[in-house]
This record gives sequence, structure tokens and C-alpha cells, in this order.
Amino acid sequence: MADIFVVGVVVSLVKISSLANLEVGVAFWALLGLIGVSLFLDYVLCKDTIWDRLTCRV
Amino acid sequence: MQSLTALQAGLKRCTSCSNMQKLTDNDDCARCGARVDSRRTNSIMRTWVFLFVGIVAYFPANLLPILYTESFVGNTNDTIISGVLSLISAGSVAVAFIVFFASIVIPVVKFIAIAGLVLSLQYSSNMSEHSKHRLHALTELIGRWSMIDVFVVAVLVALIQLGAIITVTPGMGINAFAVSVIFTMLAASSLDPRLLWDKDNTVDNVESFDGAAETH
Repeated sequence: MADIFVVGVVVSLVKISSLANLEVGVAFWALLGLIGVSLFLDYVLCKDTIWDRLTCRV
Repeated sequence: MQSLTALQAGLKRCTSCSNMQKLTDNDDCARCGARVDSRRTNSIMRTWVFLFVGIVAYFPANLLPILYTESFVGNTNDTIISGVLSLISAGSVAVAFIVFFASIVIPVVKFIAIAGLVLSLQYSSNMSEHSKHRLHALTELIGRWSMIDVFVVAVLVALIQLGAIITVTPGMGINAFAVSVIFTMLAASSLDPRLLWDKDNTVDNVESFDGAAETH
């Protein structure tokens, strides 16, 4: 859901920019980076491998 | 091409950790403890109920205002559609298109897709298993994107609090919209995708699967 939140933030910023002058801060880019990394994590993480490792250890 | 389902092999798979166990084993997963059913109980009925709530909530979501704007130049109420129109008049056509797609098109497509899938399970249809599977994957993929408008209202309400100059408060419409989106997501997730692959997928057959899994 975080990726959708970022799109929501962008849409809100566009809406606000019609009311006031707007400059995007560092935190916005940091948020984009965070979402990108967590999406990549979801993509590379294999749940089945984790479960298999956990079971083998017992 | 002939394929073998877990049910035909006498197995059931844990949806939480993918562990396979025999149909005759008890309902708790031996590995992670989650409940394991061969086919989810009353999947079709639950899907209909959740879908019904989602569709009913969709009407107030579009008719009631989602955003109240109080400013020194006057007060305005925004519905979902008027928000899209004001984005277009402000020149942000691309963003307007995203919001229109996420808030208007995707919910309606999802209603139709889920209803179509359930109807294809209840009545014999000539849709192939693969196209049913693709339709189901699509409904799970696009469902979350409708939440954009909920997040937009949340961010706007949090950011625009400038007292007498301009203040934004959420309207009832956005609550109804969130209810609609969440219940449609529940409908999509309570539809057991394994039913789509069962060859003789009439309701009677599904019920007997449920019964078989529980009586053992």
C-alpha cells in the first residue's frame, strides 16, 4: 500500500501547488527511495525459501 | 494438457506458508499453525456479501462531498468527480487522469470482474481456466490503487490547516469510498482462486469439497 500512498502524496502536492508555491523537500525524495527499496524487497524476497530454511533448522 | 490439483492428489496447501499436508490431517498447519482448508468455506457466499456492501457504499461515495474547503474567498465542497474536473481546469490533465482512473474506473471494473468470476463459478461458463485466473489476478492487482483518493484527502487534510486563510476537512463521501474500496478488496480476497481451477465447478461440487475436508 506504500506505493499507492506515494502516488496519493504526488496528487495532493499537485493540488496544493495550485494554491501556493511549492518546493519539494529532501524527505520527499527519501520517501520515494524508501518505497522503491521496499518494493524491490517484496520482489526479491521468496517466502517459501524463508519457510524452508526455518523448517530445516529444527 | 492434463494437470493434477492438490485436492485430486489428496493434499491441501497452507495459504500462509505453502506447506502441503494430507486432506485427512487436522485443520491446523503443521508448520505455521494457520488454518488449512482444501477450499475456503462458503467462499462464494462471502464474496457476494462483501461485493454487495462495496457496491452499496460506492453510491454515497460518489454523491457526497469528500472534501470541504473553507477559505477567506468562500467555502467549497468537492466530490470525487468535481475534484477530477478541478484538476483538469488547473491544467494537470495527467494527474486528473490518474485520479479518474483510480477512483471511478477501477472500482467499477472490479465490481464487474468479481461478479463475473463468481457467476462463472455458479453457472457453467465457456471461459477457460486461464482467462478466469488472469481476471482474478487483475482484480487483486488493481484493487489497492483505488485507495489513492483516500490518501489524497488524508494528506490534504493534514497539510492544509491554515486557520482563517484556508482549512480543509474530510467529508462523509471519503468514508463511504474507503468502505467501498476495503469491502471490494475483501470480496476479491475471499474468492478462493483454487475454485477457478476445479474442472466441475458447480456450487454443489464446491460444497461437497468443503464437507469432505471437514468430515475427515
